Amino acid sequence: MRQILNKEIGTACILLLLAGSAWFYTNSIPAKAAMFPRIVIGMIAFLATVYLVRELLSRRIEDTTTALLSNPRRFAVGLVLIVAYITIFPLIGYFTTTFIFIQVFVAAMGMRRFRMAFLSSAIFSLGTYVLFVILLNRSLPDEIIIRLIVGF
Amino acid sequence: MTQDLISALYALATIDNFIAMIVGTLVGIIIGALPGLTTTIGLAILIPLSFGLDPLVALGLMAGMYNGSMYGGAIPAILLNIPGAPAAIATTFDGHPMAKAGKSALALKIACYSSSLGGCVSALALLLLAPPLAMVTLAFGPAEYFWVATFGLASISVLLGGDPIKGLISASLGLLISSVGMDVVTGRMRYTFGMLELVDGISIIVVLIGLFALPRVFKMAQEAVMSGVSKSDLKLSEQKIDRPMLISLIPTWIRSSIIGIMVGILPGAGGNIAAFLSYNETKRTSKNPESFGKGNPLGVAAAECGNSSDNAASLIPTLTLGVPGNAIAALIMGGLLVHGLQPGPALFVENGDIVYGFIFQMLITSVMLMALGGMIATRIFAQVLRAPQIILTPMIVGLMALGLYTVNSSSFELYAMVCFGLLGYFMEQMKFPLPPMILGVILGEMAEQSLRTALLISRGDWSYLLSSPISIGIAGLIVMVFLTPVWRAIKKSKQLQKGGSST
Repeated sequence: MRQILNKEIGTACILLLLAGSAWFYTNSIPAKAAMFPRIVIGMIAFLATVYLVRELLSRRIEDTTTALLSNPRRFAVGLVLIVAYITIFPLIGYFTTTFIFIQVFVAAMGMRRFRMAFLSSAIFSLGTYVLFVILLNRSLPDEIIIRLIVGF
Repeated sequence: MTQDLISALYALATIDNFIAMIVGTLVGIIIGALPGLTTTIGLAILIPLSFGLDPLVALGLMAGMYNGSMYGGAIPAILLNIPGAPAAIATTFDGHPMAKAGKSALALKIACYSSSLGGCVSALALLLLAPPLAMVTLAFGPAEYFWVATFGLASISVLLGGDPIKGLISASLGLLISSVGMDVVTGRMRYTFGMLELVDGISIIVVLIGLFALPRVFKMAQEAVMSGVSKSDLKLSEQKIDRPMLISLIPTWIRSSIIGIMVGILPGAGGNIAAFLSYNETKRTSKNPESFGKGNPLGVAAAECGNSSDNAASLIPTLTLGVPGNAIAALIMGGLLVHGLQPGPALFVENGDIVYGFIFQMLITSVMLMALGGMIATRIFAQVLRAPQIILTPMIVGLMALGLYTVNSSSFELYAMVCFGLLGYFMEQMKFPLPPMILGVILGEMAEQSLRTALLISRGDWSYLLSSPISIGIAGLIVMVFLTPVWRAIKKSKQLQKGGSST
C-alpha cells in the first residue's frame, strides 16, 4: 500500500515539476503565443495539486498487485533491443535488421524454438519486402549487407 | 448530397478499393482474434503504413479493420473464454458456455451475423444522421468551436475511466504536447529547444503509435508468452442457424442496434458499454432470464450486435464536429488528418466523395464480414491463436517502425515514438487513461485557434465566448459533464447509507 501511495504522490510531484518548468519556459515567448500554453499549464498545476492532496489525505486500501514493471529484466532487454533496432535499421537496411531483430528478440526473451523464430523472421521480412517495396513502392534505407554479399 | 453519393460510389468502384476493404477486414479479424491486440493497436499500426496510398484505399483498410476486429474479438471469447478485445467481454457470458456444450460453430455464426448486421445498421445511421448534423454545424463560429473542443475533451476525460482527475491531467498533457512547435499567429517557437524536427510540432502519427501500440509491446515482452493455444481447443463443430432461431434473433438485433447507435453517439462510451447494455436489456426482457450465462444464443447476438452497432455511429461527432468521442474514433480522425482531410462540416462540402465513400466502406465491410467471417475463414483465423505471442511482439515493432519511417524517413520520429511509448506505458500502469491525451493532441490546435480567433474578434473580451445561445448551450453541457462524477458519488453514498441502514 505504501509503495503504491508513494508512486501516486511521486507522480503528482513530477506533474507539478513539469508544470513549473513549462511555465518558466513560457517567460521566453511573447505573451500572445504563451497564452494558451499558460492556461494549460495552470490546469495541470491545479489538477496535480488536487491529485497530490487527495493522495495525501486518502486512506483507502490500494491495489498492491499493480507494479510498474512486472518483469524489469525483460522490460529493460526489450527496450534496449527496440532502441538498437531503430538506430541500426536506417543505417544498414530495414529487412536485414528486422530479420536479425526478430530472432534476437525472441531468444533474449527466453524462447528456445530457434527454427520457428528463423522461419517466422524470414517469412515476415520477405512478406514486408514484397508488400511494401514491390507492391507499394515504398522507399526504405539501402540494404548494405545484402549489397555487399550480392555484389551490386 | 445526391451528387456526392453518386461520386462516392463511382470512386469506390475500383479494384484497389475492394482489395483494401477485403484485406482490412481479414487483418481486422486476425487482430481482433489475438488477445492483447485491439482495434486501437491495429489502427495505430495501420495509419502510418497506409500513408501514401489513395485516401479512399487507406480509409477502406481502416473501415475493414474496424469492423473486422470488432467481430474478431468474438473468436477467442467463444472458443477460449478470453475476450480478444474489451468489446467482446459480454460475448464470453453465453458464447463460451455454448462452445462447451459443443455449439461453438453455432455461437461463432451468430456472432458473425450479429456483428455484420450491427455494423450495417450503424453505417446507415452514420449516413443518415451525419450530413444534416454537419449542416447545422455550419452556423458555428470560433467561440462555438472552442466550446465544442472543450466539450469533447471534458466528456472523454471525465466519463472515460474511473478517475476524472487523472483523465483531465491526461487531456491537459495532450494539450501541452499540441502546443509544441511554431505558433502559427506570431511565428515564435514554443517548446522546440532548438530542435528543427520540432518546428512543425509533434506528428500525430508518432503520438498515436507511441501511446497506443508500444505500451502493449512492453507488456507482451514482459509477459513473454512462449506457446500458443493447442489445436484441440480450437475444434469447431458444424451447426446451422435454423429458421425459428433466426426469427427469435430479430428482436434482439433490433434492440441491440438501437442501443449500440445511441451509445456510439455519446462521447466517452465505447463498444464494450454498448455490448453490456444490449446484453442486460436482452436478459431483462427475456422470458427466460435464468438461461443467460448458460449458453443462450440471444446473449451472443445481443453482445455482438451491440458492440458492432456502436462502430460507425461513434464516428458521427468525429466527422461532423471534428470531435472524436472515443479512442477508436480519435484514431480514425488521426487517419483522416494524415491524409489531409480535416473532419468537420467542411469535410462534407469539400471532400464529399471521400467522406461518403468512407461511410459506404463502413457499410460494405460490414456486409463483407458475413462472407469473410464465415466458417472456413473462422477456422483459419482461429489458427492465429496457435502462434506464440512472443514471436508477434518484434513483428509489431517492425511494422510500427516501417510505417513511421516511410512517412518522413526520420530517425528522430522513431526515437520520439519510443519516448511516447514509455510515457504511455507508465501512464497506463498508473491508471491514467490514454484516449484523453491523444484527444488533447488532436483537439489542441482547434481549441487554441478558436479561442484566439474569438478573442481577436472581440478585441480581448472573454465574455464573447458566451455571447451566443449555442455557446451557452455547449458550456452548459460541459458543466453537466463535470457534475456527473459528483452526482455518481452522491448516488453511491446514498446506496451505501441504504445498505448500512438495512443491515
